[in-house]
Amino acid sequence: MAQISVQDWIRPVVVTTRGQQRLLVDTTAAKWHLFAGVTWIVLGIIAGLIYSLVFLRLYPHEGTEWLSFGRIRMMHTNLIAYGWLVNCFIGMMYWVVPRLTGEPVFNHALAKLILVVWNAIVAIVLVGIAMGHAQAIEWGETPFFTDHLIVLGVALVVVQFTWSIARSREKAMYVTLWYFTAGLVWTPLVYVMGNYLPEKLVPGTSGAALVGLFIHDLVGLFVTPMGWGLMYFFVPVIAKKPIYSHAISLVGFWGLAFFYPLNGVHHFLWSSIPMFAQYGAVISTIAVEIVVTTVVINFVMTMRGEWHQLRESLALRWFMVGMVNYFITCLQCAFQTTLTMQKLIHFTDWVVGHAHLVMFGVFSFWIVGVIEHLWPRLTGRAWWSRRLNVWHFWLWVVGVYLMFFDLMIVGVIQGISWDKLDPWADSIFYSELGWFLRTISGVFITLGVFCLFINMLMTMIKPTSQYEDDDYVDQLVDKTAASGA
Amino acid sequence: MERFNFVFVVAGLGCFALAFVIQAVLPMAQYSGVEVVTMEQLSQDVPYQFEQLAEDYPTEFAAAFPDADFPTMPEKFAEALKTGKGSYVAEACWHCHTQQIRRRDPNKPNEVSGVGGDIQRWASDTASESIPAEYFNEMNYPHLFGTRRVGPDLFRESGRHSNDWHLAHFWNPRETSPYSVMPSYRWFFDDDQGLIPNKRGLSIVAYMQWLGSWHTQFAPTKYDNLPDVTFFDETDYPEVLIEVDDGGDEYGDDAYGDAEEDY
Ligand code: HEC
Repeated sequence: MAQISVQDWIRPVVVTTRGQQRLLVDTTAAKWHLFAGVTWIVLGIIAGLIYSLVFLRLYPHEGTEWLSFGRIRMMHTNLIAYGWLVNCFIGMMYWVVPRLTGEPVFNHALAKLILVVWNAIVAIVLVGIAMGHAQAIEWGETPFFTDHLIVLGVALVVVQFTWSIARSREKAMYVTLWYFTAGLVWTPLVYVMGNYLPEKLVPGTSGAALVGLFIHDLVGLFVTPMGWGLMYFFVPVIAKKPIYSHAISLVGFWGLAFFYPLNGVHHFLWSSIPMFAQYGAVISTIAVEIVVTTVVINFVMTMRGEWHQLRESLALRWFMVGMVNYFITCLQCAFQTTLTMQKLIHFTDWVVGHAHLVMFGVFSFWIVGVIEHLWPRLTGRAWWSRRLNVWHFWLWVVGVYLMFFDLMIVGVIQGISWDKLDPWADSIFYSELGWFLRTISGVFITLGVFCLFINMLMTMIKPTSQYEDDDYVDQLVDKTAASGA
Repeated sequence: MERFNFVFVVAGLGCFALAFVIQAVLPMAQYSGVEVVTMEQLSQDVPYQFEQLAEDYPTEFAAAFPDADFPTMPEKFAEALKTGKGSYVAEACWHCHTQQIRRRDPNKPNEVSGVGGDIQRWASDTASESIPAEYFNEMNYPHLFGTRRVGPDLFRESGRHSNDWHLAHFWNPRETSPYSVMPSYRWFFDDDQGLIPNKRGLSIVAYMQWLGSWHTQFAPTKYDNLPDVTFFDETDYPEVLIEVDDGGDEYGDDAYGDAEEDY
């Protein structure tokens, strides 16, 4: 089977062209994007934890308008989406893209601008939501006036990276770049479609079809391609193995591109959206899950014979747990999207559990794995404390499974209770224990993210050992430079 | 298949466009002839609860909606709906409440309870599951279908509770429903006992009492000689959309305008 090796593509961070040493990778931008991302996720997770209190009938700040629980929920999701995911993906693209293309990004000054602009946008979104200017679009609650800014910010990011990819003189692109290219085209389209049309032009049921597309495409056409792109880069690099099969990579990518965008309406099954759209969405959802499973297989086969590496490499451990979670998610999704299952679990906490498994258990795990690998290389210092990182890992693993299985069970109970036509109060009584356990899982997750934040901060500010990485160093600096060309 | 231009155009633009057509343009096309009911039209039919608010809270009402009287009442009502929906969105009520009663399973047209018990639980005497026509109005930019039900569906909320129940409920949900997990909304009131609702308080109640009111026949009030504006004019719809009362199957599939029998 044709294997494909990322090592054949990778350029050093510093390259020598015409006798001149040139910085290919903007490590400063990468570093600060990651740090900003982690700062936002700390806030985002705290917001999530506070929101979970409402279900325990604890209202620590009753009467404080800007901390209204509904607003806190929107802060939670939007900080995770736009603060954490976007920042981290941008930061990691700075590291990955130029090293695969051999071309620097559009402009290093633009990198600074993007860093400032994007994080200012996240701050404005936060204040806007707190002040009650949210927009009623799931995952796009960003106030309408900030949507223009976000489109602008995304446009800058697109220019920054497509420049590097389009100018590459390679004959073919490495898998990672297929995903990034497609993601960079899809993201602005998805955002404009989801935030402008239903707000101004397309009302009611038609608008709902669009919003369904938006909710799903933001996951499928922005987060997923970025996540897979990173995995195709970092798993082989860290495990020092080529990707198992080039053919499967192709199947996975084109399957995603073709089927994923067709899924949107499955968020509104049994609603008044025309049934043909619902049937289409269900079928393509099942198709996408099968396709995506092939990608998981590709990675598992890549790791074959190398599993012992999980003992030493925390990064690989994050990746592979994420991979397992991805498989669970896909399997779950193929079943839960059927109209039969939807009757029972739609509108319940099952879906909340599913969403957390994907955004948290998969993509956040992958991102943390990449941070684990990159942070010493970006700061030039060894991790302040490895033990803290191990703690983080186990806290999150326990947290995510507790939350997922808990909410799944609670969801089924809620669904049955509704279907039996119990009084509404019963569905709330039945959920009480589950909601309590959910908050406990939130405590685990919060402690975990504190570990990450403190460790990153200390690594950055506390002078400790320099980071030495023998087998990687030749990738960081061009050898021709060292030999004094 | 692995080159920049190909990925950019075919995967990036092509696949997205294809999905957009199938999943968005086609559903939209289905309702292309539907006229969107304007704020002005839908506010003509003022639910009696709004007038009741004016009578029961005269000072508060006058402060919130100055000069409300017979000719201006629909105008004020439109304003209240906008403010009320504004709060509904700002507080993200839609993350805990849905506004959709799921359709009947086409394979089980005679099932009474509907999908997940939705119809039996929320349908009113005059209306069953929610149909597209109910969403084509200015209050649905964007729609508020919702994806999670912590509390009950609100699409037929009108008349389910009195104004005062709603106000007490917003002040402290556990006063009316001890088991509730819904947060309180103190800033809908001007005092610290929940007796003086402000504009936002009155408006959110008006909005709650409006949801589904288009299916309710109100008792005649002093405003009953207003011009009769039908909420949705059936002649506006493509023919397949018209609900045909063929006796038995009152909420037939045709209401959706697609031939579900095919499936
Ligand atoms: C944390 C989730 C949550 C949020 C947020 C929430 N609710 Fe509720 N709501 C509930 C629950 C649970 C009930 C059922 C118990 C009760 O009557 O309080 C309920 C009941 C209601 C009812 C009574 C429904 C009926 O027919 O009996 C109304 C009306 C209502 N909510 C309106 C709102 C509005 C308006 C907002 C936003 C300002 C809102 N809710 C925010 C959870 C929530």
